[in-house]
Order: sequence, then C-alpha cells, then structure tokens
Amino acid sequence: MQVVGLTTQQEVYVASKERKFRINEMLKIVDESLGTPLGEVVETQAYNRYIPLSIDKGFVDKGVIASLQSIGYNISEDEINIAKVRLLKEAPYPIKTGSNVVSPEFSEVKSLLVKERPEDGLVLGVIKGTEEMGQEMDEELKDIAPLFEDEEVIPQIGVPFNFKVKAMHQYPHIGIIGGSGSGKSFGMRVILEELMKLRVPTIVFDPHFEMDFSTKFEKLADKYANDFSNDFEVYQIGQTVGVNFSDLSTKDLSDLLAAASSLSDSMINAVQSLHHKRDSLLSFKGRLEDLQKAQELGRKRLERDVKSGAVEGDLKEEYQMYLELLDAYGNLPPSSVSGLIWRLNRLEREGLFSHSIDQIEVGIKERKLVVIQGPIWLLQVFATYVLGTLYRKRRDYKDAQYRQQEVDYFPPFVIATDEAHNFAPKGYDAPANKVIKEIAQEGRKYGTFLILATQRPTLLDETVTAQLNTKFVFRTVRASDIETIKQETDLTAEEAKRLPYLRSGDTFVSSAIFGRTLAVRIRASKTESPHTENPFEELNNHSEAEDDKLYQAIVNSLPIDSNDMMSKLEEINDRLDVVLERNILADKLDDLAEKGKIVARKSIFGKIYEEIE
Amino acid sequence: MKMLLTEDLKFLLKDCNDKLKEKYENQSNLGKKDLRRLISKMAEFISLNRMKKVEIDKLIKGRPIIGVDGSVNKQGKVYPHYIELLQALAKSTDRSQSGIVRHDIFSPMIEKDKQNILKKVSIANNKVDEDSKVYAQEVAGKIRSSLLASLEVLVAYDSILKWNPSLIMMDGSLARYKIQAEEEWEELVELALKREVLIVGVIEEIGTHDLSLALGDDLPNKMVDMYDRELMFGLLEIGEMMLFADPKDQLKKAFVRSSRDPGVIGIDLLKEQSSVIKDVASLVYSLTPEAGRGIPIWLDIVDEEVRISNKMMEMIIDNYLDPTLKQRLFHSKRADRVY
Repeated sequence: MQVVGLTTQQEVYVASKERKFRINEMLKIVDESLGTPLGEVVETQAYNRYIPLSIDKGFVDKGVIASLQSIGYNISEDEINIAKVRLLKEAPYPIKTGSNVVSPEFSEVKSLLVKERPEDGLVLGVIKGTEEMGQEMDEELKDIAPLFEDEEVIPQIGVPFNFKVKAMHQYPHIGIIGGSGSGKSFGMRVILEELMKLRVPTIVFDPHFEMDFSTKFEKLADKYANDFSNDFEVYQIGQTVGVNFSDLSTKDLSDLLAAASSLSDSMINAVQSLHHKRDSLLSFKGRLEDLQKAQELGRKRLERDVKSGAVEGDLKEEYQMYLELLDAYGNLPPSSVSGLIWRLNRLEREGLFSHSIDQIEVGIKERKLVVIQGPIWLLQVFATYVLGTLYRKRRDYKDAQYRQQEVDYFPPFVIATDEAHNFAPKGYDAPANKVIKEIAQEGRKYGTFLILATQRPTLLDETVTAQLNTKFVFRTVRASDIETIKQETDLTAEEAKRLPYLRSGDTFVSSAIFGRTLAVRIRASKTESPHTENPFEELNNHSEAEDDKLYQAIVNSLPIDSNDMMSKLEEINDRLDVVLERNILADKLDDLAEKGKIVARKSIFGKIYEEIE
Repeated sequence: MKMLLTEDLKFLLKDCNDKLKEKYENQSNLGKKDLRRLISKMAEFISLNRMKKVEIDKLIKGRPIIGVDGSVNKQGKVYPHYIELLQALAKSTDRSQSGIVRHDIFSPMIEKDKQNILKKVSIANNKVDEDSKVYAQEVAGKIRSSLLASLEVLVAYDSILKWNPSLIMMDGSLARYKIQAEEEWEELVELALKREVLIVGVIEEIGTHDLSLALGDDLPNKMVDMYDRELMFGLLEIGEMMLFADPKDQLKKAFVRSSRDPGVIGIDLLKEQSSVIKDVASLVYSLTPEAGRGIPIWLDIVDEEVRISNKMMEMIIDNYLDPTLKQRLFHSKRADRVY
C-alpha cells in the first residue's frame, strides 16, 4: 500500500495491488516528517487496466478472459485497489506521495475508538472498518457485541462501539434518524437495553406498543442474553396510569381536551373561565353539567319558577345555584359547553382520570425503565403532563440543592420517544413542544436527557435538533431529510451519498463525544418486540387454529349425513362456544373437506362427511 | 476556427471519394462468392472454434506462452538530431516470472551509428541510378527497425532457454524478423525447432498483395493491383481462416477474421511447424475479444507493458543526459509550441 497521485493536507489516495480496502477502515500513513498520521478510508475503488470501461473501443469478453486463464494468465490479478483516505487530523502540509501505508495496531487507535470501559457505557454495536483489529483487543472488549446478519446472529468482529453515557453530562441528548425499516426502532431498543444495564432511570413513550423487553431474542445464544424483567415496567395510559385531575393546570386541561378533539376559541375561553385551581374531576365536570342544565332551562324559567314558588326545598336550592352559574358564566355559548362535556367524557372513558402517575414516579426512583404506551393523540398530551411534573420535581430538587435546602431526592432521568416530530414539531405548537424544548435547552443542567427518534428530522423543531449532540443516522432516502442531516451533523458529502444505501442496522454516529463520524453496525438486540409476527402469517395461523377447533368439535360426530345434519348439530354446538346454524355448519364442513381435513363422499341422496382414513 | 473548409477543399475531397468509389464499388468487381471461388484455387477456407480449456491444455502441455513485443521512443524530431530508445520484452504467462527485457539506443549523433548509416548509404548509392537515390534518414530508419527486430528475436531466444515455453507469440510478421534480423533469426529457428517451441507471428496491419499476384489475370482489371487487406475485407466470416496452400519464404501464412471487425489479421508460422496451424489459429481466435480489433489480448497486455510513455522517456532522458547536451542536440522547437 502506498500513497499515490496528488495529495493534500486533508486527503490522499492509497493504492494497492494485493490488498482490498474496506470503507471506514483506519490506515496509518508512514510519512515520518508528519508523525505517521492516521486516516480513514472514505471511498474505495478497484480498477483493472486490462478491462477498461470503453464504450467505443473493444470490450474484453468473458470467453477471452477464460482462455487467457487457460494459458495460465489470470487477468484479474492485474486489479488495482484505490482508496480515498481522509486524515483524522489535518496535516500541516501535504502528505508525501509514495509514502508507505500500513494497517495500524489496535493500541495505536485505541484512544480514538474506545472512550469507556464496556461495563460503564452503552455497548451499542461494532465500529465498521475495525474488523482486522479485533484480535489484538483487550479481552474485556471481545465478544460483547454479537451481530445480526442475514437472519442469523454472528460473533462480534471488530472493535465494539461503546457510547460513553457519562459524557452526556457535557454533550447531552441523542437523536436517532432513519426511515422505516432502517433499523431505527431496533437501534432504540439496543440503546434502551444498555440503559437498563446501567440502571439509568428512563421514561419511554411508546406509540407503537413495541417496547417490551420480556421476550428474549430467539436467535441469540443464551450466554449473551439478559433478563430485564426486573428492570422495566410497562404502563398503558388509562389502564394503569393516568392523570391526577386536581394536579392539572388550566393549560394542561385545555391541551388534554384538545387532544380528544380540537378546541374552538370559545371552548378554550370556556375552559379558562370554568376551570378553577384544585378542581377535581367531579367538581369541574359537575360545574359543566350544571351549567349545561341551567342553559337548557333558561334564566327566564328559572327565575319565574323560583319567584312563583313552583319549586321548593332542594329543587329550589338547585335552581338558585343554576341562576348563580348563569350569572357567572351565562355568556358562554351552550354549544361550547356541550362540546367540552363531550370531550371530557371521551377522556374519562379512556380511563385517563381514574389513575395517576405515581407508579411512573416510583419506577424512576427505583432506577427502572418505564414504558408508557398509548395512542399517539393521547400520548402527546400525557407526555406533556408527565414530563412537566417529573422535570419540575427534578429541577426543584437540584435548585434546592444549590440553595443548600433539604428536599426529597429525585433522580436524573432519560426521556426516550419514537416519532419525536409529533412531540416537538417544527412550525406549529404541539402540547409537548414547550417542555421538550425546555429540556433540550436546560436539561443538561438538571441531568435530564432526551433520546429522540424520528424518520422526519426536517419536521422536528430546530431548537431541539440543534441540541442533539449525538446523532445516529440510519438509512434515509428522502432528499429533504438528507439535506437536513447534512446541515445538522458533520457527515461528509461521501457519507451523505451513502445514506440511501445503508443496510438495516448500519448507522453513522455523529457525536461531539467522538469528535468525528463513526460508521457503526448496531449489535443484535437481546430482546425482541412482542409483535414481530408477520400479520399475514398471523392470519393463516389464526384460521388454522379455527379450523382445528371446528375439526375437534365434529370429529366425534362423523360421519355426518347432509340430509340429517340436525341430529348432530346440537352435540356439535355443545362442544363449540358459538351456536352454528345448519347451513353454516354445512358450509364449514365443505370448507374442511376442501382443505383435505375430512372427506365429502357424494351419494344419491346428498353428501356424507367422513373422517379421513 | 480549426480549419477553413473552403469550396476548393470540399471539391478535392468529393473528387477523391468519387474516384475511390468507382474503383471499389464498381459493378465489374467480383462478388464475395466469386472471389472466394477464385481464391479457393490457391488457399483453403477453414472454420475455427473457440478453444475449450482441455484443448488449450493439450496444445500447450503445461508450458507457458510467451508474448514478444518491442517499442521505440524518440526524443527530438529531425534527422540527425534525435535519440531513440529501443526496448523488447518477452513476457511469460507465468506471473511469477518477471519479463526478459533488452534495450538499445540508436542515434545518428553517435559515432558508431553514424558510420553505419553512411556506409550503408554509400553502398546503396553506388549500385542504383540517380532516380532511386537513398537518403540517410531512410537508412537510419531501416537500421533502427532492424535493431529492434533483433532485440525482439533475442529476447524470444532467451525466453526459450529460460522458460521452455510451448509457444511464442510475436507482434508482427515472422517474415519481418527473417529479413531484418537474419542471423539472430536463424539461431532462434534452430533452437525453437530443436526444443519444439511453436513460433507464431500475429500481423495487425497486412501490407502484402500476395492474392492479386497469384490470381493475376483471373481478377477483373480494376482489381489486379489490390492489396490483400482490400480483397479480404468482409470476405471471411467471424472465426474463419484462409490458409495459403504453399509456404512462402519458409513460412506458412494465413488470414483470420478473429473478431466482428470485417478486416482480417494475418498469422504466420514456421514451415516445419505448419501442421498445427489450425490449433494455433484457434488459440489466437480464442484469445481475441469478439468486439475488439482482432488482436489477441495477450499481445495487448505485453504491448502495454513494453511501451514507454513519452513522459517516462522524457524523465529518463532528463535524468541521464546532460541538460546542455539535450537542449543542443535533441530538443525540438516543436515541443515548445504554445498551442
């Protein structure tokens, strides 16, 4: 290997006859006067001067190459490999052409690649291009990041990518960018697994109901597996966690109601007038319903009935109260009031108000990973509420600590979410926007960190994007997103060009912590999503199970004569948990016969269904 | 503007085209069929096949194949102020062996070469009449060709001693070596026959007119002075060989259409080895890209290796010749043209 052609202070070309170059691999350039600088291969090419790409001239066809081989000359050995190598650090003057180039020893590049011991950091995968150095590594770096390739788990080859999570104190927040199928969710899963390993308190908002860590990844050997069952909790909004209504600010409440269905200006106005501090669900809802009732009855009728003595006792008191409500809020349009009631009911039906976020708090304090699942519309508002509450607690604790006051401990924590562009969108105001922006800008101070995954970085709030000090960039096809990535990361033009072609699970890590972009293959995950079953396979499995159930129900009644089905129908229905009618049973029997599970024999009187011999 | 395309020039070109057209497309010319029938009196048409590996193995018996080629580079332009660097290479298909190379330098400025030229000029001019007087620069060119030919023959000779090959493929007609490097050629032939090494010459540009000479009056009037390449153009099918019946100058000759290009290449073999000409021709055909110009790729590879680029030549000259000498003797003003 040697440096050829024109060189600059930043880039050189290296050529070799024998050795093929791998993209992203590190090379050492033996130019003594510059202190043997290191470089990374950013582009590779191979060329054979005897097999040129010529459109107008002769083309060396396969037959000729084969004949040449038969006379003992292998033309492919004339191949020349060329690599474009970018220096890691700019040299003071251009590299000497003709300099020898060698592969560096692991010890020479260790400080560049390994920033943390594996047990203290997030072991997320393998740095690409380090395959040849794998053998010389320290023992503790070996065999900790098995890879998943072509549907199979293979051993780790190369230097593990170990993300120094402690450095987030200085360079906070992580972005995960990639289109669907790029390995983005998978990367998120691996990051979360590693956070659990370190017992970092984490809240995960999971709109896809996929972040469950109880299923071991089937193809992974047992020696790599981890039991995370005590390290995480999964809660569903409305089922296990919800909103404590009396904690809600008026703004929170209108956001919540807006999440159910968007609010008109007069509805927002109505919420602002009707919601009082420390209102419970009961008191607020009662006020709304009473006002609705009062508006239905009308001031005239109420006043007349009270005056004329048509109502007495409790009812009279009730009417008095209606009148007071009308005095206070009578100008609110009745349609807004009923609209609010409808929205409130919807949220209530979701169970949102029947639970609290106490378990979430407990989980965080126990250094667990807490997954919150829910439909995206609800998740957004709920996140606003949860993050607002927890972030305030952490902030209060830290602020009090600065002031040297005694307060209850509240731990630092990490917030992770997929579809982050829904939580903090650019250009319009979503409920969670404010709190996420605040954490993005100030979270470092309080030890609150974001991990935001999105397939549309272009749609993510720019203030937030700018604060993501580490970005994992997976395969991205959309040109506008690639443009955004180029602006927001230190990815080079060559790397950006590769983005649409990355394999699933391959990623560029652009991190202030490493100071340059690394190409990484994410390791095999230790757990898998509960719903990785293909829905189409699921469909088949389901009908097979159904068929089987039916078969078990009828098998003892065989043979069944189509003319005399009624006699068997009852006993069959007894065995099934549904009641079939005669026609339907006939159809189903035909169906089973068609699938070859029973035989339908034709006779002069009709069909007879029999067991297969 | 590159060139002024005047009416005059247009007329000249059109006129030239018309005259050529009349000669080559005239109805009185023979059709392809008739021409083949005429030729078949003195030559044989044979179809070749691309060889399979077993056939090739049978022919070469595990011994390497050698390619021989030469190259000339010239610094300076006009006689006698130039120097030429001659190089010949014998390359083996066995990659572990580096090629056999011989060099020579020729320049009319060097006393030895100058004497040689003058001697040959005076001998020639004593014999012939005034009209066909030979000039020193022509003689110099011939001497250089013959030097190169002998270099090539010598490396071929060396390669037999060193590698014991099955076949030597030379770039150009064997007749050329026989004429231009007679002594060395005799020795090569003797050794090759003794060691059973096939020697084949592959001719890219055919400059003979053997066919019209032999056919003579059988050809229509307009075709009697046509060169072989003109007559052969488009006459053969791809992979077809036309084999001359009688060896001429101790060499067995054939024309082969080895690619889609309608022009043919020539091959020649020692008369003593003519029994295998079909196999050798098939090998040449097998090594030739179908879409190429008809020359086996092996010779192109050897050619690529022996060729010295002009830049390289300049570097060598700059390194080893005194700059004042170079400027005084070999520098050409042309090289300094701005455009």
